[in-house]
Amino acid sequence: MKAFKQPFSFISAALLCYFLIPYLIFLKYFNLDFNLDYAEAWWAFKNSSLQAFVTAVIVTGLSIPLSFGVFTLKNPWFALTQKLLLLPQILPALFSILIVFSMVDPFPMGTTGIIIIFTVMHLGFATVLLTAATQERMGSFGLIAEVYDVGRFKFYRRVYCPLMKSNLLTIFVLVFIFCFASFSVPLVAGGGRGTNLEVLIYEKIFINQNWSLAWTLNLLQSFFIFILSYLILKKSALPKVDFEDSKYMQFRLGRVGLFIYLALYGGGYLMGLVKARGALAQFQALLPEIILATQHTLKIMVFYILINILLLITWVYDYVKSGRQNSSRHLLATSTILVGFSFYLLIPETSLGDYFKIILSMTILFFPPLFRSFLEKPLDQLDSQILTCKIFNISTSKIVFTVVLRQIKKPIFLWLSFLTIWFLSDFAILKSLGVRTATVGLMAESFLSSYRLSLAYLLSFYILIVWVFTLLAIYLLKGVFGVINKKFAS
Amino acid sequence: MSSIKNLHLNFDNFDLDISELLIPEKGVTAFWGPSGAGKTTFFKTLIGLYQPKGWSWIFKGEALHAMKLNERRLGVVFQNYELFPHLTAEENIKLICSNHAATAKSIQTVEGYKNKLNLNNCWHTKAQNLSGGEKQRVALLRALVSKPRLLLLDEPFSALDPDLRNEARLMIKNILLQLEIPVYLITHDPDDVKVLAQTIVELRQGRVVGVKKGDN
Amino acid sequence: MKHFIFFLALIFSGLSFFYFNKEDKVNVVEDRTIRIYASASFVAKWGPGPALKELFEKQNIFKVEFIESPDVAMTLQKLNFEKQNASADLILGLDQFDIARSAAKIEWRTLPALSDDMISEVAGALKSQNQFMPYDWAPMTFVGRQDLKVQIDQLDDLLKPELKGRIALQDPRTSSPGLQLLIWIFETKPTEQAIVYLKALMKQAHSFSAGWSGAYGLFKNKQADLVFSYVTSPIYHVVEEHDSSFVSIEMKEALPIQIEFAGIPKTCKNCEGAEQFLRFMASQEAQKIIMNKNYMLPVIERAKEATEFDAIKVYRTLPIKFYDQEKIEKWINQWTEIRKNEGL
Repeated sequence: MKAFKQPFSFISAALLCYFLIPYLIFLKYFNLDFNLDYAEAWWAFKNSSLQAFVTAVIVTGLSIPLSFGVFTLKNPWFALTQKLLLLPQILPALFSILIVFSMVDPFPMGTTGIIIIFTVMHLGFATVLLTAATQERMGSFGLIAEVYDVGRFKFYRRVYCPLMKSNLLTIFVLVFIFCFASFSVPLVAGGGRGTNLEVLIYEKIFINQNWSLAWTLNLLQSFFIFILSYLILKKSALPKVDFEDSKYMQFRLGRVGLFIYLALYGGGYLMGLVKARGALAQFQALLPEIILATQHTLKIMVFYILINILLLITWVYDYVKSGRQNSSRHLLATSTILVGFSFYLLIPETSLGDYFKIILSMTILFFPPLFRSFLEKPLDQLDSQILTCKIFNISTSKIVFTVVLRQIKKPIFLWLSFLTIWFLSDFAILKSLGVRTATVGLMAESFLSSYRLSLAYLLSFYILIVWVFTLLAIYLLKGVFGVINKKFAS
Repeated sequence: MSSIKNLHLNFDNFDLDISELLIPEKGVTAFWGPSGAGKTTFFKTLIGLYQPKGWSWIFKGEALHAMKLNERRLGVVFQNYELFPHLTAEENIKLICSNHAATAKSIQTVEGYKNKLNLNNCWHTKAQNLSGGEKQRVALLRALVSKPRLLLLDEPFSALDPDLRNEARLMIKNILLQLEIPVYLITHDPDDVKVLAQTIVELRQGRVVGVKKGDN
Repeated sequence: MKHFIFFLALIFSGLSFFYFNKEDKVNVVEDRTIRIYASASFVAKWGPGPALKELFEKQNIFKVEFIESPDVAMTLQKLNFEKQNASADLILGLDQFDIARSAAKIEWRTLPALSDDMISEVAGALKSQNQFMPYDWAPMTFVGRQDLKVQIDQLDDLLKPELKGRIALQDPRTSSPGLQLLIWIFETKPTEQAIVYLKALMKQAHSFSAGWSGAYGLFKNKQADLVFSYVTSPIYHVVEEHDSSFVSIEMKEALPIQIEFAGIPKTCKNCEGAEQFLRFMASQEAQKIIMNKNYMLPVIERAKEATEFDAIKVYRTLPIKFYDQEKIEKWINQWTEIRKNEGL
């Protein structure tokens, strides 16, 4: 899209400023403080990098056979399995830690332990991502290779890996970043190497009350991630192709691996649920509060989804007009606590303020990584069609609504699924925002912080059910909008 | 005559070097040469994908080199057609029509061409489900309804099997004769040149090695 | 398509306007309202907040508005920035460390004597300062199960080989209980011995969680046999889960105590109401509520009579101290060095 790159786009600048809001707020309130213990920061950086790197390699590698295992399944198991793989995304990190500790006994504390927990937490997500990307990218190459009897391993080496390289790299970088910026896992499982940059940031706040230092560390961390993302994640120019199933895209051992993973993780979760059944009476007694919290959550979620859709349309519009993806897609590891705190400082403590805080912070934290995971590549694949539209002088909005968005419906739906899971289950962001509105995520947090682990388990199951119903509702609404759209268009 | 001057592009393994070229402003001009001759690079430059420094392209008194890509009013048929796969043949055409201020006359034109190009049976079929020949005809219709000043056809028949190719060439030849739109045809197939071209520009290794009259 | 988008935007704007406008009216702050910042577990339905609010409002003209505080450190920083515009009348959930840290940032109101009936362990906290009122407390120790086979009477018993990798602890850099344990070790042992002890304790630790809940979760899940927690923790299991298998371990060393304080910033808008509420919190009724909901000990002796809390042993405790920042940082740095060199 070289011919279309405009030197300056107002929309691009506005989008970038939106995602930089927490940084701008911090700049207003705090000075940068470079009076760091550089040895300590370097130690933390090395720990973060090693843990994140090894995990990302393992997860990316394992997601390949697991995604082939997914392709051995037919609907409805195909769709259901992918939903189940997202379970670690819904549950609080503590649950994943507890499940892994029960799975691996004795548990090897230290870097090995951290890597094991991270792998279990992110493998499902990586597999779902890779499955979607494979369907977009591989077309009928598997079938062609099978017809020509190329041989499975030659196919993987000469066709699959080169074609999927950029997607695999995206998964690698995303997992790396999620692990790099993690807080609770390195602490609990890390032994001496439990210090990472995120822990250092928290330490500066909690122990030293030195926000300037914390913010400086966060800036360094964000800058490192920005550069990493910028250098490694390059655009790929292959067009979208229709996926054809084939023997080479399926792997029975991958299916076995899939079931082992789901059985162990899901089984661990179910065991926790069974143990928690003793708290059912308490849960029932709290049902009015839970329903009220659900109502609040869903109300905020409606606006949250609409704002995300608006952001997406603006982003795509900007992409079509300017010919480049917005730079804020590299803002992948902004510290949760600092984003939360920046809005806590700025926005008043009212119900209306809560809506703004939650929607702003969650879009800023979730939009870039989810966009990169699900929408960036599908958009890139439409480059040649966008070019064709421009040659025929079709207006930008027509290109956006008629050509682009209509062709990435499936990735958008996946993207929305993740937006809603992360929204429903989050409490880390909500806690740091100081919101007063009761939400299901905050309820889970207050259960966890007051002996009520069993109630937290039950609530997590409840959140799972709400998520499924939310997706169904989105699916139905999609159909309704389609009908309205056709009526208006005609 | 249309003139192209100082078109110099350097790539790693290849240079396109056209100091001056005069091309007729009507009829079909074929740019012919083997693979690697520079035809596609030349084509992309005319569309506006490449912007060599200091070059000029004057066509019917207008400096097309100075115009943005979407201002050049070129009708393009790509080698792989680049239809919007999720839209039907009709929707692919209407998308262009609506942009060029659809009038009763345009719609009539579409109807006329639809019949001429034998697109009635596949009019409501999604582009991803069309046959190669149908895609080619839809792509051509799309290029025509955009009311181009110049039609650019990039290997328009290469995706078709030999029997269909002959038929397609003759069909296009008839339509072009009626419309009197100037055409630049990029091809490596001597039969395309033989059937369609009034002027032949031969390219080899990024250079124009000859310009001569065709048999038509 | 344009019409559709415009239509959608119009509906969206309209709904937003009506919705937010309606919400705003409901949330108008009245002059008689006391804005109290407290933790999520305090203001939750199962926490003491709602019951305290109900009882207080029956007895007073003031209204109580609880605002959930994300973290005391963040709340204090916000107050520091807001200065005169700060709207907090009362801050709950401050511990000894928060008080030391906030000294340089926030000015607090001097409090009159709000109760004559404070128990001795806590009364000491009022001798050295008159700006913070304690409202609950608990000694901290190790909590285990009845069937624990290892005899533990003192800190050194935690180094027994049977407990290797079986003690759930908290990271002192991120958790108050974690810091409490660290200080306990440094206060009961000479520095050199404390460092040797900490090195040995590293091997015994199952893990160092970010906070109390992580460590307690691991203990409850039987990943660990012991957890550093409050002496009152077993009472929660007896009352809520009808499970009496948990015990608090008595140690030869005097136990550290965790006290929760309340303070009124000088920038309070409803200072009178805040003081009234503090006075109320020191009353027997309020103390009973806090004790039963927070599972912490009351600061008033009589409040725990005829309850499960009355059955708790009287533990020997360290005197309450407010440590200065440099000392805390020094201890943490020593801990971090030891932790670093524990390696993989």
